[in-house]
Amino acid sequence: MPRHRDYDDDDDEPEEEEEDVYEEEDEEEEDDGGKAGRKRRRSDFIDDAAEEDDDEDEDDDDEDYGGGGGGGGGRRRPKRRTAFLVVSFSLHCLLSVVVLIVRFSFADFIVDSGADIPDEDGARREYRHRLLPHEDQEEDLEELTRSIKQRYARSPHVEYDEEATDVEQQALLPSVRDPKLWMVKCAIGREREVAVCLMQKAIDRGPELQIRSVVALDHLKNYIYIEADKEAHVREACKGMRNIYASAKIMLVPIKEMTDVLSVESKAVDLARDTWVRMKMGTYKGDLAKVMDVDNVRQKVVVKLIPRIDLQALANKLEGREAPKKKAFIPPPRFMNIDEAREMNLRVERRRDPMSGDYFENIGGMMFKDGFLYKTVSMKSIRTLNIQPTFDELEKFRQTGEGGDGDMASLSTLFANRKKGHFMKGDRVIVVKGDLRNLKGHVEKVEEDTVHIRPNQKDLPLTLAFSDKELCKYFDLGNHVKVVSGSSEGATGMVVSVQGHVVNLVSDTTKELLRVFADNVVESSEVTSGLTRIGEYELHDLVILDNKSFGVIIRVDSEAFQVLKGVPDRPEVALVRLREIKAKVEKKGNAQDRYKNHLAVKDVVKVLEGPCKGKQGPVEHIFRGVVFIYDRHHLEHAGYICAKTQSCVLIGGSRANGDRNGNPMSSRFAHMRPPPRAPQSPMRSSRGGPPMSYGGRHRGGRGHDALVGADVKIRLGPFKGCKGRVVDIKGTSVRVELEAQMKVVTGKCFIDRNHISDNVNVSVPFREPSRYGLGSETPSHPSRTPLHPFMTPMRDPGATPIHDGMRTPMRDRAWNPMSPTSDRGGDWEDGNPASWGSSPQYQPSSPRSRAYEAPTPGSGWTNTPSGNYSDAGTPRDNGSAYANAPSPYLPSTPGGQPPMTPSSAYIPGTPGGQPMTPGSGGLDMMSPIGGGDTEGPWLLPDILVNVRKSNDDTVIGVVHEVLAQDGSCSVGLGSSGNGDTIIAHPTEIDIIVPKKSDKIKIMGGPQRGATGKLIGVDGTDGIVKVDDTLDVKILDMVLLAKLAHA
Amino acid sequence: MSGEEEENAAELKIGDEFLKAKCLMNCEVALILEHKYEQIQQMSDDPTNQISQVFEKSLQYVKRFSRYKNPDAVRQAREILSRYPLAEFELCVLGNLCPETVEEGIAMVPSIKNRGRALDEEAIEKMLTDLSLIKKFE
Amino acid sequence: MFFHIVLERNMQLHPRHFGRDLREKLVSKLMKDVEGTCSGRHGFIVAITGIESVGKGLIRDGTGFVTFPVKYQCVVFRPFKGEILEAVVTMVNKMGFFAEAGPVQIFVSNHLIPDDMEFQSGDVPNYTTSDGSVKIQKESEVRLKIIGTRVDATEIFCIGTIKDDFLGVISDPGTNA
Repeated sequence: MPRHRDYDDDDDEPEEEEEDVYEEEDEEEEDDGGKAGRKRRRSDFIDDAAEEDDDEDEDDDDEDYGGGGGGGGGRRRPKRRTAFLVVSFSLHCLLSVVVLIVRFSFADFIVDSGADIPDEDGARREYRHRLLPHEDQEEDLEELTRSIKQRYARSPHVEYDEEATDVEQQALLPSVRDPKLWMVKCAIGREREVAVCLMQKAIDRGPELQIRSVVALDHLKNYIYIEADKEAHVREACKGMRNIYASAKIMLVPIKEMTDVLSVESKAVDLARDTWVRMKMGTYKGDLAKVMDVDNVRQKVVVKLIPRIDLQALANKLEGREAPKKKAFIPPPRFMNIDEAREMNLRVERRRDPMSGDYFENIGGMMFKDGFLYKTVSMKSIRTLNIQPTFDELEKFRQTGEGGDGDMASLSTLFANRKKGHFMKGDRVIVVKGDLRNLKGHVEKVEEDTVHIRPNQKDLPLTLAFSDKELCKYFDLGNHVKVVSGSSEGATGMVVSVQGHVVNLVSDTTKELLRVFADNVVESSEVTSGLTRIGEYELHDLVILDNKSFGVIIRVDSEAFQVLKGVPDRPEVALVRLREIKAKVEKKGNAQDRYKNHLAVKDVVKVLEGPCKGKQGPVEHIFRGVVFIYDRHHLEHAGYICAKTQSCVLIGGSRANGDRNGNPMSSRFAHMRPPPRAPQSPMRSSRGGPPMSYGGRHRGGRGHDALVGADVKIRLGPFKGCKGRVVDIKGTSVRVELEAQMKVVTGKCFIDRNHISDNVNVSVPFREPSRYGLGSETPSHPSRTPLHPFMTPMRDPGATPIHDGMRTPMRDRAWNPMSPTSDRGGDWEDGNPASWGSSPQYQPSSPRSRAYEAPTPGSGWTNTPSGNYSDAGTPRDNGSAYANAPSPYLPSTPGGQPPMTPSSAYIPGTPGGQPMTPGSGGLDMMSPIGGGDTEGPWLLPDILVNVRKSNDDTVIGVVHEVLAQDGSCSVGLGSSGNGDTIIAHPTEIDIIVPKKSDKIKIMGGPQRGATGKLIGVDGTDGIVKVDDTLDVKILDMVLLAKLAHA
Repeated sequence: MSGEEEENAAELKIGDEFLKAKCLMNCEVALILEHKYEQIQQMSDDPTNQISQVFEKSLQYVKRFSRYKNPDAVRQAREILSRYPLAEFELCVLGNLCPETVEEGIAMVPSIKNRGRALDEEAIEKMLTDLSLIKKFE
Repeated sequence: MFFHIVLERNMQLHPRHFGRDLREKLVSKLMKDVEGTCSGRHGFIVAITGIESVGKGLIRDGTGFVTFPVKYQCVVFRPFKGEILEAVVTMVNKMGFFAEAGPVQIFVSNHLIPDDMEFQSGDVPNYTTSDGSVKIQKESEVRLKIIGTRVDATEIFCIGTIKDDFLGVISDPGTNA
């Protein structure tokens, strides 16, 4: 039966071929009536490929022997030739690794009792190799190898043909039942010799040498591998071998690594011209070199190096003077200057290279060209794998007259060296090699080394497969990217130019140009500056330096800081090292401006005099009569300006953040600071507080004070559970103003940053909006007036449709995703319908805070609305129904109807007057039922929800169906929804807020029902890639629900 | 954010919201902001402290880059441009930059060429000439 | 590009302001809160020009604060990728130059400045063509094309190019009296 298979498999092989092989076998086995042996081996071969069970194997064997073998005699009689060897030298000349495998098979010498010797295994392995006749047939070696190759090139596929699946391939891997591979130390350079000796030994000693094969790898010095079942067998075999260090430990190769030993991976860094390599030894050890010429026959390459030559020493040497030799000294790399050499009286010959026709300068036997050293070295002395030239090195190489060409050429090695998983789905790539060069596309799928891309060109097939070496990441000008490796790792910026493989980008923080490899860059919307901290000092910290001076850290380099010193007259920047910094100034100073206004950190001031006159921005630090102001329009010194407090004037009217973030301190200062100067007083005095701007509008989302103004909940310590607002951050501590004590004192406590959870967003406590005071009507109304004249053109014939047609729908459009509109409030409320059901006092606040987990504080005014909701500190508000009413009704005279019951609505109208618009009457109903009605359509199938049960426990589930009548849902429990199905009222259901890269469903707005992926979160906004259209939308987080895993 | 439909003003991909929104030429903005600035000034004798940097910068900018200073001219400019099938955005770019030649006009607003509108070169030329006339008579 | 758009915002007001001038209070607070801010979506809000509507207020539990949805018209400045606009140069250095168009900063890298313009350092750093006919320095007016925008919570930053037809200096401070 196996025989049949064998023949089948070889069907398409030329008959002679087969014959040949058999002939050789026959020759070799003639003496022992080789028929059996031959069959035996053939069957072995098949069995092996089939990888059948051992038992079955044996059966097969038995059959074979019994059937065709001419009796068991052959089986019992020890053979004269005890081993069949295959010495396959460098299977393919192309491979740089030469493998010597010596294989033994004792299968044929098993005595009856030898059943315990797992000889079959050994025999089975033979499919890889073929029997080699002994010495007298060595001349046939070549031919034999050829035939072996031809015949067995396909051998692993013999059984499976093309259909070999992964699983089947897997079955070929060694298992615990297979013999093990042992690593044995031998004399260096004698690896092959040892292998051959062991082969000889095996031939001489026969079965008593219980090892199965010996492997000598050319790239592995000092070791050979021996395949055997037991260590003892290995020891036995090695005993008495001259070149094997018997004392050395014999190491077992773990099963997992066994395949690696014999798989030839390192093949194809085809040493082509222009590849980058590194020198392995000598003076240039570690230096980058470029291959200029390759001589495969002699295994030599010509490389181009930046010379490390001490001309003086060279001159001495050439003149025969004995120079004091300092071994340790390696001259720094420097381009050869021929003139300089001439001056040193070195003989410089100008020679033409007969091969290339180029001229070289020859000094003392060394060839130079353009300052580079051209050196012929052995292939063994260069490292070709994982060469990652740094940018500096490449720059150096480029300096002398290598055009842009070199850049692209250098890619080949860069590619060869890049990590696995380099490309990701969605990456934009450009083809850099082959016929389709310059084709651009998106990565669709990545498999090992093959990348499937969807070309941008329309007329091409949907996807094309490329080797990852043929691709390069591609960026458009203006892309916002992040550097993911290399020296500027972590920095982000925008691409300003792409030169081949090199991307130039403008750093977000320093506004400086960075040059990086495209490979090291990914597209990203994130904004970071890379390194922002050394030791305890962080970017933008105020620090005291050694010599009593002080300044703000405006830049963090790898080992030093740039500090803008506190010298108001002129900007002075110092480069200081970590140890030169004495301390960080934590305290927030106070000062007075020119008009004796009280200044505090975060106040917005304007510089009235000095070099920075006219600049304005929030005060970041105050120290010794000097303020540091951050003006984002100031381009130097990271936007920082240093000025005397006396040269500044407080302005504040324009900043909204103070109000947004709430500043209870203002009341503290109100009495302390009589407004001294008229211009500001109307505004400020009426405002009842200094225009303190707490909060991060200017630094929003970035820097250490991003948390300032955020509502937090304290997780640990004595204040655990308390909620409050962050007023200050010092290092890892934050000062939190506790909500509970807000009215009495501004109770603050230092709390470890880690102990708070930033669960809610920037808050908006009330702040009297009296900037415009009594006059405030005027600015708003008059400001409308000018509009009308200019709107007139719009009303002209041409524009009218635009005006009417476009503005109106706009108003009706869902602005909600960004600006918190009525719908959104409604949605929100609906999302937490629990609040409807019961009275607020007993409702835990968890659902609410959950909804606000995502936003980062200070990320813009759009946040505020959510802040509005959250700052109440109460679990809910009944905002929805009212907000839902898009009625034109204006609250003119509020009063009356005080908000008596939490669930009832406050209607800002005179009690009896101000009739509602007809439609709004219904919406005014704030009864839970009313709420329930509106929330019916809120939920959608397939979203992941938390279902709250009676005892406050929540269970995760997936909405299967929304029932029409009351908005109840049938919810399948469990994260995949496979569990029990229950019917839950919407009031019991909370949507699970998605996290970044979750699949989501849009729950509101015009795209309600669409699915997508949350690719980023910005404040209260989620950046969503919609599945259908692939559009990227910015939607309010509350409109997003996590989709269940399908 | 790869693979997204990127915004590109040259192809008039500026998002629905802005595409449909009322666009303002610099000169129009100048009029609006100046008026507002006066209002603020009346209320306070140190207006610089009351206006935001954004406002201030914008005002400076639009004053500097207004092609037409006179409100009548502004109105006329918009009127002329409105006669042509232009999107709001295109209209304002043309109004702001006042290209002198058809070629320049197309370079400034590439979208006017490739939307298959009945806007041939002659029409564009006429439009640009009319625009420049306003400037001349202002 | 400047736009005139309608935005909506939920305003919170303390009950103590409820009176005849509630609306005015709301409006002035709105202006204070909103003017001068920037969002990635709408750009810089330059000025509020009018109030479209003030919705019905809604009491927030437990606080007495009332939330009013307010729709307002405003002038916004929003730069777009691909937009061509004029700007004033504010700083020139060897890496390129910065320019301002209203509230927005635009960086033009030297890679995006025509190759025939060279950086000249000195008291007034500038980019000049070899024949000296065109010069970009501080206060120059340039026409540029925005090729990239970076939006973060409080700022929009752009990079631009003048390496295209009909882009470049409109006037330099020397000639533009």
